[in-house]
Amino acid sequence: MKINNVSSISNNNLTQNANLKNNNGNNNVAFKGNILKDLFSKEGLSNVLTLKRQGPMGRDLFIYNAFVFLLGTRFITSRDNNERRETLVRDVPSIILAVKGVPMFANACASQIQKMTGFAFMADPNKKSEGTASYGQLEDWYKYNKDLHSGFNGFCQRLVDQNGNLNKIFSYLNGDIKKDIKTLDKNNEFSDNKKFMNKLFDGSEESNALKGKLEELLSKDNKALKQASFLKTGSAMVGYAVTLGLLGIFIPKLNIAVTEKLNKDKEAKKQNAATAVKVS
Amino acid sequence: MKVASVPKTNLDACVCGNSNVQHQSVKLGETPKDSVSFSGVKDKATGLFKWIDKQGFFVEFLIVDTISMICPRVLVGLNRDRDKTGQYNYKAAAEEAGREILSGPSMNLIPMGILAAVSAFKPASHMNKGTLGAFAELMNKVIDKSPSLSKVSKDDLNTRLANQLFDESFGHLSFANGDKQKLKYKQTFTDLLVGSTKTTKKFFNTGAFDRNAEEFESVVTEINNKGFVKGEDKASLHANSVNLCKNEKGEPLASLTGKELYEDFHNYSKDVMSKLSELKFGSDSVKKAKDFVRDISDARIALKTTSAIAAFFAVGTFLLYLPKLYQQGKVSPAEESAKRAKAEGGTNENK
Repeated sequence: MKINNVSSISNNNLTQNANLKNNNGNNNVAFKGNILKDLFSKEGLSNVLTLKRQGPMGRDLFIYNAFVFLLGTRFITSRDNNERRETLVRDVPSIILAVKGVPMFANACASQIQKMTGFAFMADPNKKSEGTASYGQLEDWYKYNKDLHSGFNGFCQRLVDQNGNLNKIFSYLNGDIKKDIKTLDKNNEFSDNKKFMNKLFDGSEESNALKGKLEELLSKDNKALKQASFLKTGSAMVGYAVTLGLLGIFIPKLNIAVTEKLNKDKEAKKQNAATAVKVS
Repeated sequence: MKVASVPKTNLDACVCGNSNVQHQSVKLGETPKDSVSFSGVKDKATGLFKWIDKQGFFVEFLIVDTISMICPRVLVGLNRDRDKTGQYNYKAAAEEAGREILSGPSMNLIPMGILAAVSAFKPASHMNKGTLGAFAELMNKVIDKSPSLSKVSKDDLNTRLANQLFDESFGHLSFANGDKQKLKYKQTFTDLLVGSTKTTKKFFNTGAFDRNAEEFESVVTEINNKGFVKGEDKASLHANSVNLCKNEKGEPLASLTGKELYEDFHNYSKDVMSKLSELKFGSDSVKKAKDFVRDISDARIALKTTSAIAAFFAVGTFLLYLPKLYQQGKVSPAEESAKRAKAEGGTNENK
């Protein structure tokens, strides 16, 4: 039995058709205050205490631990006030960023990318906090399975429901398809998913020809699938980069600068007071 | 037909009684017009992040911690006040290194160790709370249908539970080829799931188990794709998942991917079923069995909470004694730095 995370599908995605809530730590937060409020709420606490499956120690339990013990012990065992202040300035944001940073920035980036490119790869298009869909789900969504009972119509509708833009997605497949779609698009209205689908499924000869080509292309590994996977990867990379930059460069420099400034000021004040006493 | 050895592409062929399997073929020397190249930076990056994703929070944390906390802090510590002293500040660097290397990963490793130990002894505690509840409910229904429990073997119990699971989760679906297809899927589903109880899961060598789990998940995906609810015609968003039982609001008690269900079934059977089948039941076997199932579920959930709290305090204790390991000397580098800044900020005193 493996000790670390056993689920090989991304641990972000247990959302289901029936809207089961999944508090795995990807809380919809932009501000520090909200993260802490969610964590220390009753529901957050009970989720943490009955350790969810993903990861042997959930992100939230890590934060509890870090705040109580890491910060607490560093505080208690610090030798002077300067070390205590350094602990606060440096460690509080660091802990939160280390645990929540990557998903937070990755999700923010992902939702922007999804809007710009029209590729649907968020798990829940209305909720940034649920994160991106797993790679397995993306394969399901972008690779047409002929078994699908609802057929190609259902396949397209699913992409539309996830806020994808069919025109952009299908045009990406290859140059010929892009041309075909343009010729079919007599009124230049295919950026509207509904109109695109209406035309594609209207039964006319050219629509059926295009539909056949699409079904054929999409049923194997295709460029749209690769692009969707890559966009998901890209947003994760941005999440890592921003987190690493903030944690590794910004916070330590801030910390040292604060120490220096505070003590320079303190000493300057003392000098001024001494001079004032001398003069008077 | 031996189900365990049926390859994925053949399943449909077997179900429909047709043994011809179509493969896409590309003639030698011919490049398909829409061939997608499998090399390139994009694919490598995707592959790398797919792997990181698979490993879970621990690897993500390790990467973030090492690159952003350990390395930079050590470097910044080395260069601390270098402009004033003209030397590398080895003391500061050593303290930073000691503190970061020891505290970060240990906060993950200690709980991982505790949970692994607990799961080894009581496998059912590895399951989610919702799943345990769902399984308990399913077991109650199985017990209701099996009045003479003392004569039922462990394998038989597993089969009945798997059947019940299929009925609960997929019973509402219809299939294009009618009930015959549904029954064949039920048979495959049940056989594979019961097979999970027969495969052993060794600590580091989980290859065979994982392969079977993947096969099971592909069957679940196929059932979800092919099955439909009369009157609805939507493509399922999560074709690889199974919804277990429903509460009063109509929401499922648990939603698991096929692989997770496979593993949970294995754990549940190892822990609960083996004990259940060994109990001696007298006249009121139904009530006794139900009480047993409920009690053991409660016990496992309590064990999860206890182990979480134990992990919490174990990490805390380690962190409490950690500073003794990395602190060198009585004066912190921060204080030394402050002293240097004071010396700089103040004017020269005559005294």
